[in-house]
Amino acid sequence: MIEPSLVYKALAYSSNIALMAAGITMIYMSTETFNFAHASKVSWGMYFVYTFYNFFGGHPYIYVPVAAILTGLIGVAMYLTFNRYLLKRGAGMITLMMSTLGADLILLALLNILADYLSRVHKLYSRQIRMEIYDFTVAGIPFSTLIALIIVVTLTASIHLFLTKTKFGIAMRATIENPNLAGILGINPELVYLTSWFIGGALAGLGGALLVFIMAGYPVIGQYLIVTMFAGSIVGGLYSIYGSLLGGFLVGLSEYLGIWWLSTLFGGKMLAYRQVIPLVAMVVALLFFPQGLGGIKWGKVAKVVRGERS
Amino acid sequence: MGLLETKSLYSGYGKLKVLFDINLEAREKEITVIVGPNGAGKTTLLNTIAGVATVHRGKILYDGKNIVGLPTHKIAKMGIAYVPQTGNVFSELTVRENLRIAGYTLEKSEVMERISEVLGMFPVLEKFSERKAGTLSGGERRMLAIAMGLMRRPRVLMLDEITTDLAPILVKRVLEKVVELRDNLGLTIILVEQMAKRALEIGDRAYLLVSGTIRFEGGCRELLEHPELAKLYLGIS
Ligand SMILES: Nc1ncnc2c1ncn2[C@@H]1O[C@H](COP(=O)(O)OP(=O)(O)OP(=O)(O)O)[C@@H](O)[C@H]1O
Ligand SMILES: [Mg+2]
Repeated sequence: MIEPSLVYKALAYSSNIALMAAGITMIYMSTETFNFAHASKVSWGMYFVYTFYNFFGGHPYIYVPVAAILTGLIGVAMYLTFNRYLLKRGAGMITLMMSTLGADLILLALLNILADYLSRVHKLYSRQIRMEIYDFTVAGIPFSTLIALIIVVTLTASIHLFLTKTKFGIAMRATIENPNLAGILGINPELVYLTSWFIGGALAGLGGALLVFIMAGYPVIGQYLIVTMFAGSIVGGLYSIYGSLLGGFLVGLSEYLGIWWLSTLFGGKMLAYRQVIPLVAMVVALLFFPQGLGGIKWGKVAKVVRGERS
Repeated sequence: MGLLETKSLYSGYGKLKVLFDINLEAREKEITVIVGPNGAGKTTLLNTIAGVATVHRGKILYDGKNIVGLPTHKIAKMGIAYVPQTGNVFSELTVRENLRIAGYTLEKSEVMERISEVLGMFPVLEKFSERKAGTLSGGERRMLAIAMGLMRRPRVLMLDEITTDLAPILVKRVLEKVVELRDNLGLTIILVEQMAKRALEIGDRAYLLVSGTIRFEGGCRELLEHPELAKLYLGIS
């Protein structure tokens, strides 16, 4: 039998992956940059919570928003230091992507420095951080699950409102579709790109910061999770924030539950194949929905489900 | 002195050279008509002024200030509006959202006022206001693009072949509107038109652009009645 605690963790894990996948999509949609540095931003999100908690105390959950803002600023720094110039020079997708790989290595190195500093100077066990003990339950449900689900749902709703009801949100959609015309109408496309990098980075950090309450963290955890995040974003169709949230959630869920199921069948050695699941999920999803989940005409699906169309 | 002038302007796209030694003068509260065969560089000239093409040499003076090198959105905010020939609406946005975003630089109350004003001019758009612009017909899309250009009350309005795809009755109405913008609101207009005769009839000064260079400059009447050029390039005999 599957244990409730496992289900809760699976839900929390997949919600966090959904946030990270949405961040990848956000940055890709606006700047066509596949951001590999998302990996280290997730790890940084975890370590921000860990570090601030050890330095300033209080409850670790209060540092989750701080972590999100700081990783958002890392995104801004990436845009301002190199992505902006590459975009101006009309760099191709490969160049844009490789530049983020470089940034990822730098961010990882800095994180290792932080971890070393914490362990040598402050005698913290910083190479493997464990904060699951700080999680608590609300009405029998772990807070880590509750908050992750709440954030995903609110985010979906608020992104929708932001993109369709606010002037800047509409300007963002306009710029993503046609930056030249947006400029002609007086919109500064750079402001739109900067905002996307901030939101994208913040989503990575938010996912990481929440993940620290359900699993052990280490400096390369982001690199370990990046396959799943990318699979989520790709399954989502790459051009839809909603698609990426759904894709990330489904890929995360199938990975978490799939590996549990496989290891009950074949034993613990199956854990080594964990990352295969998101890749298989990606291939299967794209076979059925080549445009990704974001490309599905959900209105039509609803009609078919209700039996209004044959 | 013109409100907008180019001085020995050479421009194109990246390294590609399209325009050579262009000296244009768009005088205040006048309609400056630019005509010429396909591929002459008319659109490129407007793109260059708007800051979306590459300037290789020369100056663009707006109100006496050189605007070469300024980003597109800054040029827009200085009061130069542009209705491009292609890619002039956002297909993923609804008609209303397109209009709203065309008034990006305006106050909210002003945006609402202008939207009802331009919708009044093109009632078809009112009917489709919640539809995505990508689902509009060619003519409807053109109307939306014009409406977007009229959202702001700029000082200079650049219009690139706005009558294409429109039914004759609308062509007439749109060109009347252009005259009205000049006469009643004192806008400075640069009009690129395929319907050379009609445009020259309402315009003040004219430029004939051929292969990236100016072949004629002078009064619109003068070009209309030019013994060779009118026949050769404008199909007017
Ligand atoms: N974005 C672009 N990149 C490269 N070359 C371009 C671009 N746009 C136009 N050109 C080239 O520049 C030249 C001038 O084109 P332009 O669009 O300015 O002509 P036009 O006078 O507006 O023609 P038409 O009457 O057909 O609209 C053409 O040879 C065209 O192929
Ligand atoms: Mg043209």
